[in-house]
Amino acid sequence: MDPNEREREVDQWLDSALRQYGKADARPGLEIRVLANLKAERDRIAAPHRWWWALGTAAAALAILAAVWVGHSIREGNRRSTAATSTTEPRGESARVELATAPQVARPAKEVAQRRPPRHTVRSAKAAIAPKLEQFPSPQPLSEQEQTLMSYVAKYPDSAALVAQAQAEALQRDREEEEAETARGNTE
Amino acid sequence: MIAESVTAGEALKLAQKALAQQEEGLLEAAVREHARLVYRIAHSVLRNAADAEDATQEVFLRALRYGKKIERVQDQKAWLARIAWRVAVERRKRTATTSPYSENAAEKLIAPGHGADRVLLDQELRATLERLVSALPAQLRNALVLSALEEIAPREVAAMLGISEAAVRSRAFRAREILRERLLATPGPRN
Repeated sequence: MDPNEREREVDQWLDSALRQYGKADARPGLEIRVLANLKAERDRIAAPHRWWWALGTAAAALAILAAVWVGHSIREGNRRSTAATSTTEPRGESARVELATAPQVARPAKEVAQRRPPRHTVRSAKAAIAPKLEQFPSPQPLSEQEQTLMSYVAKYPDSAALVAQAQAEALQRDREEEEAETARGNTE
Repeated sequence: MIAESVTAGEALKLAQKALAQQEEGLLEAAVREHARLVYRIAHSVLRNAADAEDATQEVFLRALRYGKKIERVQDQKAWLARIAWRVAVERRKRTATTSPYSENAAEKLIAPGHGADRVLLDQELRATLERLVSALPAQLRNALVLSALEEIAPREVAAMLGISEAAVRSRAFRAREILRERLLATPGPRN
């Protein structure tokens, strides 16, 4: 064979072979298989996300329940401590004045730390709810004896005035006697 | 009124769903349009149908993991071609021991319009070519293999290999010359 002809033949064959080299065809349905694989991968990726959502929701619900429970127990504790304070430590006007004017240092720090915040909130809440009174001490309903006395005074005002006058004179006499005895005791 | 009844959370979910569907649609369209090209690129490197298909699957799985990036891609074809090239080269490194010309001869033997003698002859020549190509230096082989793909322009090959277009042409030419010389020197069926 002529060398030139052979070279030409090789060239032609090489060109054709190289064209064929890049023309590989996949089996039919390549796209469908790829898409199915992608779908499976998407589902696989989405599955843990669903778990996280479920876990997150459960955790949020637990946190809300815990917050409600803690809030409830704190409120309950405050109510109990307020009730205990009002029954064990009745204080009059003078005691309140003393507390107001007394230096804070004198009170134990622990007691202050324990009692002050809840008492303030409860008292301020109560003060906000209760109406402000014009008279102190607040008027109480009359007892049975007082009611009987009132009805007697209403029915027999003259005799009631006489009885009252006689009692007043008797009291005056008693007071004078006491004073005389006291004066005598001092001179002795 | 319907819009008013949708809460902010629901609107966000709807927007996310629409976005996911859009991404899904984009990727699906990319699969339908470019899966064959991706397969050919992988096949040109791996020279095996099963490996090439596995590589094609991996390319689109990587594209899926890129997520929203596919929206910003201007040239999807070139982008997927680059991923396909990287995936195929990585796979070739892993499976370097496999025969480069283990292509299924049975498919070729039953190809219509070819006589048995012609098929066998082509098969032998093809095997010779495969062997010669795999023996080429990597730089020349890469340029030749990618240039042999009709769907990819020299500009895209240059971008994939990170060299200039002129360098691609030059390397492909040199590779072809080496193949030609070796074919002439080889005592094959045509000699």
